[in-house]
Amino acid sequence: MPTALGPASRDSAAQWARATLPRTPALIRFRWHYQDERVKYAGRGTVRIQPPDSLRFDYVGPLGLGSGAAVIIGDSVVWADPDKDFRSLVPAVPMLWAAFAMVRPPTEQAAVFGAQLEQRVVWQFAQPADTLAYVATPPDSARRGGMLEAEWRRRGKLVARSWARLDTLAHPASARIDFADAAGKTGGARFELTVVAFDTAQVFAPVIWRSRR
Amino acid sequence: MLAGCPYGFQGGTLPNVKTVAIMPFDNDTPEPRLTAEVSEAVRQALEGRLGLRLATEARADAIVRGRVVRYDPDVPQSVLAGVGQARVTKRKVLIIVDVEIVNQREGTTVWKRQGLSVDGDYDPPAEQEGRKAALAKLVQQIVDGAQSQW
Repeated sequence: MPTALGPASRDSAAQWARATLPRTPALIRFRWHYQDERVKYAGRGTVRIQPPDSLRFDYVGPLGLGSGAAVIIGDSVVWADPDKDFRSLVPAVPMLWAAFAMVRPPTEQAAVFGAQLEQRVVWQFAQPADTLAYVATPPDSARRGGMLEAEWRRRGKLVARSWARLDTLAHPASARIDFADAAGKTGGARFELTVVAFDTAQVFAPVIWRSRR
Repeated sequence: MLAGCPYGFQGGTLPNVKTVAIMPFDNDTPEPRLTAEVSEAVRQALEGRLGLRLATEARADAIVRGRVVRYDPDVPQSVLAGVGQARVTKRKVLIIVDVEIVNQREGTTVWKRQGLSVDGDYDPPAEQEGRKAALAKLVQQIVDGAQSQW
């Protein structure tokens, strides 16, 4: 994201990030596809979002074989079961939020930069090791949906980049996350999802957030 | 084909349904593996026992969807009294699911059960055995329920 950014208010960034979240609990059903140099998988999944910071991610593998789930609060994985499967499918929590066109607010340690470029809003949250940058393009008058692009760098090296498309209601529609290879170039793993339903009429049982192990 | 049947079904199938798509069940429990295991039980019931063919969501006559509402893995079944303490010698798992089969061509619900409860005994700590028994009962309940639509 080669854009000149100036220092910006953390409060404004946090307010913008909060606005990317649904206002009420939401269940999102999606189809997903994952591939890296060794494997290709596809399946279905759901995420349940409980604003402001909780997310449960459930997935089923190809042909319904194998399933798993994880609970994330903020930037932390509270539990994942099976742990190894989830971490290979979703190596970066901020990118998972971004895939659903949602943004975590900057941490207290982050230096915040921003810019407004015509219709687009650009934010960068720079922490000691990790830098997250976002470019948000709102839906336009031609009824085209918006877009949230995200980029994660660790010590300057690209880790992942994502593109999340939004529908005209600003709900997530599809996304792609590209993970860089060891040399920091894109072309490593890729995770793609297509949303098939966005449901705000759900009531989540408290037990879904607990781990049994 | 049975004479006089208004839907033209063949033994054991649902009215006007020959192909089904099984959607992953929502899982309201802390046991993530149930999503796949319940889907597999539903597949066994519909494909293996009722003779329906699996198809993609876009092409299937009907879709099956549902929710795993509750999973209780260690309900005490039998207790051995002892001095100062009791020992549970048998437990059971309890699984409660909501299931719905919707005919997508007609937009009608063919079969629906909410709070379908199945259980399976096991000797601790072999919880998986109890789960297997409960899922076998789930297969049977779906078969029985679907056949009751005749």
